[in-house]
Amino acid sequence: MIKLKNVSFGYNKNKSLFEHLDLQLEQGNIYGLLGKNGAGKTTLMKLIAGLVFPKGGELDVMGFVPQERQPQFLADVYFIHEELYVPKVKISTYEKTYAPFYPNFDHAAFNSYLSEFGLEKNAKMTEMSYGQKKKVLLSFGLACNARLLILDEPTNGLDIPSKSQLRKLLAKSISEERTFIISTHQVRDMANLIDPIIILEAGKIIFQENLYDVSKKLYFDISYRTAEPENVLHAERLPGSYRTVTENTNGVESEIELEALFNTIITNQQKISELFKTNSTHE
Amino acid sequence: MNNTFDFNRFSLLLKKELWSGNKKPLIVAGAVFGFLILVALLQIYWTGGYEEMNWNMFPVIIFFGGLIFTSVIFYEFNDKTGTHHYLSLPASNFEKFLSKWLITAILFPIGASILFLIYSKIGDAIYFNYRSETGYIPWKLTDWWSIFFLKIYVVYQSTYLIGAVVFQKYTFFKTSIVHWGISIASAIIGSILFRIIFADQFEGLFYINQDINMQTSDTVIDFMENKFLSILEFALWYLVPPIMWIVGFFKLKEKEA
Repeated sequence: MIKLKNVSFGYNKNKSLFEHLDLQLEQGNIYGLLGKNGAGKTTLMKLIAGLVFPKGGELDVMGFVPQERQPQFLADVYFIHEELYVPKVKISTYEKTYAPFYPNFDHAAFNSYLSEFGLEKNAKMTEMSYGQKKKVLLSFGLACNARLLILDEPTNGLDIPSKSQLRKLLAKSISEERTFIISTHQVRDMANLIDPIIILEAGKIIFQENLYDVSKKLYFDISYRTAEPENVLHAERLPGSYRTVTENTNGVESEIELEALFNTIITNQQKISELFKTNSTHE
Repeated sequence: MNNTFDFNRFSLLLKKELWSGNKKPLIVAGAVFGFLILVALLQIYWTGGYEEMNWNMFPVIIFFGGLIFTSVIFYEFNDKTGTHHYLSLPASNFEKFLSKWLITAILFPIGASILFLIYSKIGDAIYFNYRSETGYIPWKLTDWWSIFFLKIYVVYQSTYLIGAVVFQKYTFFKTSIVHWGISIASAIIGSILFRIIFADQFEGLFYINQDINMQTSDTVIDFMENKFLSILEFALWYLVPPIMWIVGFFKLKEKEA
């Protein structure tokens, strides 16, 4: 569904963000795109959406070349940015004006998403809080039924109930034909939803695995002790205990803690790469 | 589905531009209309200068209103957060440009002229009700003066549309400054060329010889009066705007990349 081959990109001539980037994403998944600040997550999503153009390499998104920005392609992609833009109109006007551009827009679903988020259709969008604007755009994005939905930090600004509502809606909306790419720093908000996980580090994809394979290779545990555990890939101190990540040697599956997984991968790139070598799909 | 131009998609785009619920243009139009009526009433009752007012006011409305409107037509694209919204909208860049062009180059002058026509009819009715002076020629949309300014507006609109694409902020002022700069530069270059070409007619650096006897042949006069001016006029009305619109479109495409 999405193929990036040997893609290079940089915001200026002297400094490249991506070089020889390869990536393949299949439909029917909710991909979690993780990475530190400046790793290139937003830029990668913009490349996929055709909002920035690669300096080299090939991009194929649902059979389209994104940088051509063909209307048919744009109607099948919906991107919710972290910095929101809303016109000075009511939600109902926004729906009337923009929905016809998306041939598969589901008005009933939009109404139901809005009511789940507790939003009134006659509210003026520019007078809403950041969180409310986000809820409108999330509802709109889901109702578009675009085959590719890209969400950049979707839970930023959302209150606690809304985060779980969003998870519920995303889980309900995914289908075999659709793909969601979610970039987030709030990995706990997206737990039990994003799978596979893609980790970007300094413009390189250092990890792309599904959670089933992660649970087979890594073991997540809480160790109730005061001394820092040894022979672990990663340990982080919790009140009265340590959360540890070790190599899964006995085949017992554990509950994956995404934050610990991320930190493990970032601090043990070489080891993790060797451990997952047989499953690697991105290279 | 045609990916360059699709009539249904273009209609949706126009609808979005015109009726997206943004009442600002309507409020501005209403305010201008009210202001004109008020000024007309004051002129009729107190100063009696209504006779000239409409002839002078029409170009002002068309120019300032139209060129400021043209300057901000790409406000969404030039907004830091709005750029992605503009680019992601499922329409081709040609359709997006064409909708903005149609609104500023065609629909605005038509709409403003109709509004001004309605206002002038009301103003004239009030005028003739209170004053019966003869000799007052009511403003006419079909008069050469009005048509001339509409044509001049289209020429200027084509350049302000480029400014709207190129400049991110203060587009109207920046484009006006560029216009002014180009005029000054043209005048300087013209003067220098004149000085070089007619060097033997000068005394010193800047003083023209008072005894010049410029004997211009009838052929030259005929060419200048009948052909050159017509060519210039044709270029101004029919070549400059399309060229500028094309430049604006390609500039937009370049900026979108």
